[in-house]
Amino acid sequence: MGLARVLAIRAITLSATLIGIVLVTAVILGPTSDKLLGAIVNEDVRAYSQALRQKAAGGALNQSEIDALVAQYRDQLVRAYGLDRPWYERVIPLSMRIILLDLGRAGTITSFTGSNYVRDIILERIPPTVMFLTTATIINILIGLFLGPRLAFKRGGALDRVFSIYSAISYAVPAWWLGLMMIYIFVYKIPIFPPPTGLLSPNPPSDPLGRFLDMASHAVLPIITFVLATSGVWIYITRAIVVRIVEEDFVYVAKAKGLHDRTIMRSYIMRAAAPPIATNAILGLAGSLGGAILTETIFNWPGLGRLFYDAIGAQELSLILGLTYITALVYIVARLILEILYIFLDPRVRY
Amino acid sequence: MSLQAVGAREILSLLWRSWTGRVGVILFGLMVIASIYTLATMPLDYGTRIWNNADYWKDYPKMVPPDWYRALFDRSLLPHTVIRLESPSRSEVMSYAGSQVRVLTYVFTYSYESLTYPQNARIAIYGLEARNPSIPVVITVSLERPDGRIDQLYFEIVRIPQQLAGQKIYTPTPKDINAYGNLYMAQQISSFYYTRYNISINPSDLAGLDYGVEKALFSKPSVRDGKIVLVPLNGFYRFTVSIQLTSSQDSIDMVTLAVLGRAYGLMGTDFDGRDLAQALLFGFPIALAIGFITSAIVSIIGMILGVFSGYYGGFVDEVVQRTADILGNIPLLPLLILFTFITPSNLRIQVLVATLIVFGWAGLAIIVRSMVLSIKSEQYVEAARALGASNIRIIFKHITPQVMPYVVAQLIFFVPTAILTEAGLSLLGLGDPSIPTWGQILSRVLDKGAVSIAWWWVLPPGLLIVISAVTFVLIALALEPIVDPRLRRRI
Repeated sequence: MGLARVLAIRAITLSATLIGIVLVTAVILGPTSDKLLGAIVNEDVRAYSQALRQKAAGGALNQSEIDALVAQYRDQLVRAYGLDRPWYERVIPLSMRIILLDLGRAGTITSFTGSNYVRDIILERIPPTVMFLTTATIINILIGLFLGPRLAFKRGGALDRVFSIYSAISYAVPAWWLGLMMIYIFVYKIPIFPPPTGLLSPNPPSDPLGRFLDMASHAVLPIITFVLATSGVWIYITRAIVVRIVEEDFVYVAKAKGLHDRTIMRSYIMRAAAPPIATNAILGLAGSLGGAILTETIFNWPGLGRLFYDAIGAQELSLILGLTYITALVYIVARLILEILYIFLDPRVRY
Repeated sequence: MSLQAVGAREILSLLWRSWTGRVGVILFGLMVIASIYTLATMPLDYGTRIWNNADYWKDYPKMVPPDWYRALFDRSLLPHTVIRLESPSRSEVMSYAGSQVRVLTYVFTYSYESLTYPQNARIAIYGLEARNPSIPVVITVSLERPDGRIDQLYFEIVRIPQQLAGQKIYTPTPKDINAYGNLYMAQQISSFYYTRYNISINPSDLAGLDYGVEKALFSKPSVRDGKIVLVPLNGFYRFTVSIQLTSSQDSIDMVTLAVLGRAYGLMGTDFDGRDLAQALLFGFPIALAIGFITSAIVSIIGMILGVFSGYYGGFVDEVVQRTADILGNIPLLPLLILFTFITPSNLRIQVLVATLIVFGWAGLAIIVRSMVLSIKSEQYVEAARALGASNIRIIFKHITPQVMPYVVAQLIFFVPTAILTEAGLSLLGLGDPSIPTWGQILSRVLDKGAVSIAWWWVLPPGLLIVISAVTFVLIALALEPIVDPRLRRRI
């Protein structure tokens, strides 16, 4: 099979998964969407009729004319939102629009600049999430890369045992709880960090440097929390990957040849460990772009996770769909990148 | 080398061998004991019947630390006191409006020795039976203070509706008289202050936020820097509650006096005055149930699909593995939030468990499959097949026992996932408020913004969530040698 063909098949499977996710979400939201959209329509119609009445105060329109206009406007909206058809007929066109990145508008949630386009709202939340979660994930990856191979090489040693327990506990301690405790201790009891007011203090400095420092001081505690709560898992995974390779015959052969430990580690072990480690790193980075719903909520951090939570709370159908789609899209793209990366990292993968 | 099937006894001895296993087993034992105790002593509908029933908690102080905190660290806090009298101190029959009526008198003696005030003082009358509602029930409360007597601290005429004649009313919700914000009492105390101390405080001020009737009850007024202030007056307080009933046969089940203190119980109370010890205890069986039910079903499904997928191969294998691949990679939390959000709150835990099951089996199925692939090519499996054993027999006799230890370890490892997920969703307000789980308690702390104020409210539920998760992780860690044959050889 040709390389291009395999990649094409992969791309098609992944795209099908993506479409599947959007369809499933649309179907799940379907039955409730009548209610949600109905509420949006009612709100719009109310605002419209109020505006008309204000205009009509001068006597330009009489009551029956206003009523006719309002009814006409309502009809128009109902048709635009597809409320004249049952929800299952709406699912396909809705999904198609989303897949083509026509994400539509939100009802009540707006971006900080006031736009209610879903695209604007989502785009604006990406930098905070990157600043917090992607940074934390990069730190995690580096910690994993630094410690994992060392622990695997001296497995069973004191350090290895300490970190295996750290990993286990870090699996059990949820980041949101640790965040709560960190806030309790380091904001209220020993006030080292500023209160979790979001990206900035209530009255941020106006000069760019001061602003940046203020933002950074707000980001430090969430990042420390997230790294403490999740780095154990990264260490464990990296160690597990390397352990599997350390036990391979070719490593024993290399040792038997009398090669230096560092050479074995670099040229034999890490070369073989690269593809699975890269997989985890890239999927982790992709996952970080979805935001951390609970931790962001605890820290009041205006990232994508927090946005998702707000969208559900405000029953923002198009925002929920948009976020789900973007998260899935990032994941699928990451998978595709991986498929291509494998070809370079692992010479055996020639399909 | 082939894996040997591991028996239950061997698993236990292996667990006990490492300290992680020992700590895990002990913690797990404590959780089980707490759960059994809870199930034996608390009703299953505790959440709806008691926890969310505001009437139940009226005799409890709100937002106060545990009583042991008062005893150990802050003796100035007023202890909580409830006095229950099931039989009256005096029972007389008098004539009223031409008929014989019974008058029951309950005398409560309360010793006030503190520099802090109660949150409220509440008299509650339970289970009143009035046979002749044409005559009203008359309630009078008098108070004997260290510095004098208030003859009519409270007075109320209650007309019992005719259709309730002979029925027991005020049960389970009592007729209550609260000092907090009580204008009648404020007037009486105000005039007492004036006659006794010649200091005048407007009754509506006395009932307001500056003073408070519950404080005035246990104080004497004094002038400091030209301002009138209340000073705690320690000593014995005798509340005499006399209730004139409607006939000579009428009865009352119980009358109570609660002086709501500044500390309560083993774990303190929350914003609504609910006893946190009860809810924390109730959380044990729920956490275990959510954890184990989810985890057991996930493991069984994962094992069955993994075994079939690996053993039969072909189309079944392809379908199972592709599905597992997709399910295992979908970010679960957003979906869980979505699902629980559109579910009515009384079904949310079921939906949570179901979602975890539908998406959770994937990882196990993939690993079990790879184990089965290697087991299936072992010689004894070939031999069994050559001897004419059926596929089902080979699966159950030769393959399942081999993957079982791994499945059990994964089962234990998955328990915290379910517990933590429920807690996380509850934190977002997406739990089932009728069942007090640890996550529910925490979510309420956040709602009330009490993280920095009430340590007894925020710390224990979170710690219990984390400790229960750590328990299972420690056990799973101790079981690792079973899972990883390389480690096993070393033992």
